[in-house]
Amino acid sequence: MSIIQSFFAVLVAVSVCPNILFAQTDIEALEEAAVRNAVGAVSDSVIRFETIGGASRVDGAIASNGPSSGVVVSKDGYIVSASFHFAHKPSNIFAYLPNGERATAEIVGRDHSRKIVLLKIQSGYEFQVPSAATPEDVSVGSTVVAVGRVLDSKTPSVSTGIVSAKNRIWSRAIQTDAKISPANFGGPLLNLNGQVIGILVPMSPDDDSELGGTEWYDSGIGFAVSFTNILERVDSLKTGKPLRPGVAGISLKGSDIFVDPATVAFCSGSSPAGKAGIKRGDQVVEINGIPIRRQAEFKHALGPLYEGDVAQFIVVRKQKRLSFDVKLAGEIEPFVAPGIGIEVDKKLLVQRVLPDSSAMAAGIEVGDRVLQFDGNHLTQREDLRLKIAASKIDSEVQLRIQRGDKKRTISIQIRTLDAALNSARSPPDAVASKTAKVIQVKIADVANQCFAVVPDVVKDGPPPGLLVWIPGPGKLNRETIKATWPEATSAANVIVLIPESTDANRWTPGEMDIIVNSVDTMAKKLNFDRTRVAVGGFKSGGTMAGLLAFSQRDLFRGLILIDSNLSQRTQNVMTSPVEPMMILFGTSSSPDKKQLATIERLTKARFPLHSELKPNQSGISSWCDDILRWASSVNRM
Amino acid sequence: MKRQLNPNKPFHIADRSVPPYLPRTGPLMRVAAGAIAICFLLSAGTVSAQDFPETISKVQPRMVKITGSGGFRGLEPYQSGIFISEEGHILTVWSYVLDSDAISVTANDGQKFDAKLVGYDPRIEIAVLKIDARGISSFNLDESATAHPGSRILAFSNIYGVATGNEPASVQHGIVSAKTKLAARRGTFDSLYRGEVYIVDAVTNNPGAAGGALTDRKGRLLGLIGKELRDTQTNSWLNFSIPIDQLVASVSKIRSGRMVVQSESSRRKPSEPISTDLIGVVLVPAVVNRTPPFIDRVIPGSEAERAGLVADDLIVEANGQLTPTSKELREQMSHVDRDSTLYLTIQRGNEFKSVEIRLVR
Repeated sequence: MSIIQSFFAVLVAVSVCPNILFAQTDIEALEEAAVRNAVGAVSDSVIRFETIGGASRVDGAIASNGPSSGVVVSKDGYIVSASFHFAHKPSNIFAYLPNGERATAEIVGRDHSRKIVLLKIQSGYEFQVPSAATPEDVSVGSTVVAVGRVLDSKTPSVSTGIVSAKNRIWSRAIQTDAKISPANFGGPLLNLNGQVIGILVPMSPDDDSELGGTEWYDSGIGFAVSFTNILERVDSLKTGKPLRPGVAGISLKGSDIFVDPATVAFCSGSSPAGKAGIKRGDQVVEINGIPIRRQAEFKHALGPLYEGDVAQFIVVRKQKRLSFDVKLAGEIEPFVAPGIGIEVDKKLLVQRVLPDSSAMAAGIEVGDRVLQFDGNHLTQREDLRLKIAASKIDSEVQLRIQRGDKKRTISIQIRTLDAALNSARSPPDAVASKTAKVIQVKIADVANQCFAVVPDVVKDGPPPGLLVWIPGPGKLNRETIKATWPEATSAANVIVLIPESTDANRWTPGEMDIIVNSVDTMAKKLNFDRTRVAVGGFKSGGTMAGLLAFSQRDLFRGLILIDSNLSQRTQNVMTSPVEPMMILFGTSSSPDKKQLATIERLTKARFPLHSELKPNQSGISSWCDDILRWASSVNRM
Repeated sequence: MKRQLNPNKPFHIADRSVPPYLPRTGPLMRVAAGAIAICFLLSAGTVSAQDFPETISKVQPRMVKITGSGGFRGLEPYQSGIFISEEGHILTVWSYVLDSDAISVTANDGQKFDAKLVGYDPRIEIAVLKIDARGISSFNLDESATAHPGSRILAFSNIYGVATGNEPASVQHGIVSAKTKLAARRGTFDSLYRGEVYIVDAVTNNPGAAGGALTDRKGRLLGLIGKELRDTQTNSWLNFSIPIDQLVASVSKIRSGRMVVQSESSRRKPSEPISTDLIGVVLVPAVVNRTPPFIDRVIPGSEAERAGLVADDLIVEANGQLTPTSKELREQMSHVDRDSTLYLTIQRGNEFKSVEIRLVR
């Protein structure tokens, strides 16, 4: 094409589209206009709130008590906002209306799944409900605008970005890279047509507390919950009954949710799934039409559902596909672990009978081999544990045992599992080793020291248990360890693994990986009983132990807290028949507020808890004996 | 994964010495513009989607890197600045970095100069430096632009001191989130400046960035990037710049040597302020930090009674300022002279009432 021809071509094109040539450099101007128009479309529907009173701290963090944003959901003055802004429980809330008026407001409903609140403004003003975009209309990569009314009361603040992902936080939220922070939590996320896609809320995949996710503010990771979904639930929110995430009451088998299929490990008869007819051993393959191949998909399918929703479960039982309608509950009764008070080894030989237990009352003796439970043959220790876990408390069961050459059936009463510290030693003193040595455990890639106190192996004796002991932060001293642990270690036949903090002044949650690593490193070198692994700690080390115990429940069976308390991150922990956890709690003086709150929380959640460890003034060394004796018996059932 | 920066930590400059932000790639081309862009391509063939490169090459020679004191306790010894005259005047923020006998300035081309402190205005925390040079490419403060929420911006600064020698300043882009008054509380580390600011949705305010330029997409100067600052209302770090029109008067005073530092006089509290006792109001005892200013009782015969205040009224505003706690109410009242009128807004049930109280001597 000659120059003249191409010039001509351009000329023709320009004459077709004349305005555009002048607009050439103004793509960004068009873009600015598009953003402004989108914001303009909802401007009157974004309401500013102020709060008065309330707490200055929430969960130990400084509360947000500045202004906040909300979005109109009904003409008669109902507004949704992020529950984050009201976590400090203000005594008074008021709203600024688009016409400049001020009116009082109060919280009338809460959605604990999406972390939003519904507020009612007392005013005759006719509010404008913005139009909604359904999440299906939104595609990853499309431009979005986040709007708030915190920084300035007259003009809404804007931040632009794109949709980064959909179906985040177990299919509850849309993710965006616009700047999301307290300046726009509660405000809308818009598309360029000015339609509301969602309400901006702080969210985190592993912390569903009100403040969870706030640490991600302005980071390029922000979340919004579907506005369409909220509009559908407004009437229900207006009733004042809180909306809670729906639970089915199923414990799944396995530990890797991204690999293991959704096979039911436990499901009590009183749970929603149990009532519907789902049983242990069923494999869930579909929920509400969504195929379930792995446990993570199970979480995604249930994630967006609420209490009261009915979900259709398809399970495979003995090669047959069965369908069950499960009416989800808001909470399930905490599982109370049943027990009879024995410890058995992997050959099902009774190692210890706990004093005052129903096993002792029924006449079970050390050395008995358990053969059958209510007529069912047992092949491994886990069979017996799950049978007991599935039994009704106060019911009678029949244990078939072998003692010497004789077999007999013993009737035994199921009671609740007792976490008490007891005087019996395991294994009996006769087989306990007499000495222990302190060795250094090298962990790959980190500078932290780590010591292990290892009792001498007793020939043909039972393998030792393991206690991961997390001391207060600071440098470890081999001599102190030598003076403190070996005697009790050998008496209880428990290895003690003691890691060191990176920072001399604090433990950081990131160090959990290092500690788990040290357990793995040691497991390669030393043999220990996988059913007798406990973790414990002193002061902030105990808080760390709590985080570790509840994040690695397939590894730990017991948790020991000395002069310590649980962190907020473990506030929603629940008992599980599949992953048992018992807890020993002790303080050197009368427990403080946080420690009492920890005891209360654990008791309420029905964890087997022993909190009567006697106050002790003379430091950790005098606790060693009790701690190790208790840790040696965390596999009791 | 998670950002290191904890929004709940008390303010400390060292908190930001580790780059806490995840990299952000801005959406270069929006959907709305897409359709038009296609039309461009059809018509003109080679239209570039934006004119950022040209703008940036125009602005860069006007940027400088400033080095001075600091370098301990996590205080970075550097910041940014902009040329504002052909003779080498530089506008930057007033900070500890300039508290040094040897202030060094590195121009965009790598030339290093010793700079002289011409003067500073501690109230708005700006300073003017001068280097010995001529024919410098500079911003003209009298030709600055303004922007609104949604407007595209570019930010130029030596954020985290990444640029050294003849390396140009780092450029970031984003939009104006809001133009608003700075709501930060005054304190040891907090801002003295309480005027208008641009809040932007780019992470512009980090160590070294203060004194940098905020421009519109044409490279017209909008504002001066401020120091790191935490918003006490939302407990989050602010990304803000001070609009140039707020600085012009002060800059010209400094340059002409007429700057008179009257640091605190304009803000001094009245010697005889008004108080709850004087107007005859007893608040409910402040048992916690956040106790709201509810009226416990009104002294008979007092001005408060005459104004119609009664027990259980909640005072929500004093002279137009929100009073979420009794403490804040007392603070607000301490700024009001006892001889001037006090305007209160009270909430009674679902109603709001405005009252005026003036003491009779």
